[in-house]
Amino acid sequence: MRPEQLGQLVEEHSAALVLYARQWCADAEDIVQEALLKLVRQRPTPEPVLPWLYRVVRNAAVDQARAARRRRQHEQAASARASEWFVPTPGTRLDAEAATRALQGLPEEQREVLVARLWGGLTFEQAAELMGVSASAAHRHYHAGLTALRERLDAPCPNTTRS
Amino acid sequence: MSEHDPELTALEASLRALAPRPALDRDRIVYEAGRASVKPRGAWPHACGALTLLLLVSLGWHRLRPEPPAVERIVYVQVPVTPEQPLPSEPLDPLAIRSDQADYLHLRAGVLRGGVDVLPSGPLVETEGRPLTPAAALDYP
Repeated sequence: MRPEQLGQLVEEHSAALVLYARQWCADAEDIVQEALLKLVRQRPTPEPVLPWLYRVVRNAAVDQARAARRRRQHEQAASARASEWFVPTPGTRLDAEAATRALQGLPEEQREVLVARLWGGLTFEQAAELMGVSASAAHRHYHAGLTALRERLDAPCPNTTRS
Repeated sequence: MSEHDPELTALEASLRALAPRPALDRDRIVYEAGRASVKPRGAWPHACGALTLLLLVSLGWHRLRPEPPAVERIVYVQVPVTPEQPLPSEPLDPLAIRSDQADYLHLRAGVLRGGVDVLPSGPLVETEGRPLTPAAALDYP
């Protein structure tokens, strides 16, 4: 893989990959960086590259989450970084922090397929293969996640006071 | 599903508008990838390092090892004894010539000097009762 291809991949997909990895672990940046370096070492370059990257990131993140769970630090680390999932952008309809909290409250399979589909740009088939479920199951999780998010984001957050 | 529900479709669009926080430095990743691509891989560097270490340890051990003390020992070796060859009873004289050979040489020298007339006229050897003549000796018919 040429450096400019890698640079383009980092620019276009690294943020979504980090967001994807953050569902399981706190050191998402390191995991994505390692996955990208692993991709560079691959001969030949896997095709299609994006699902391959998501699979490597998922495996590493799940492994690290298991290790962190054993150390009982996973929840604390995840909550400490709750506000770092999205860039606060003025003018958007959704609040970044509220969306993060709403996503974090979803069941894992719903959150994973939403992130992979909405920000990762994967197809339902690719996301289903990542998760080890059928495409129809991935579709079902996606719809259920969206519905749950709509309910959570429409409801006023009990922790915030509106003026 | 969401494509049939306008509310969910709008929510999808709103969620997509949220940008995940960029966390990686593009230049740093490319730099690290370049470094990783030129790093020697495989077991050769480890094997080379291990052999070098082994060589150094071996050389150091040889240098620091005390010399073993010299031990003097007497070794008795049994040499097999061969039986002595009996010496000849009388020494051989290479110049000794048998008597019949001496007679022949004397006769030959006389013939060379004085011709065949020197030969004795009598029969040389008798064969089957007949005297041997010079013609018979030369196998003339």
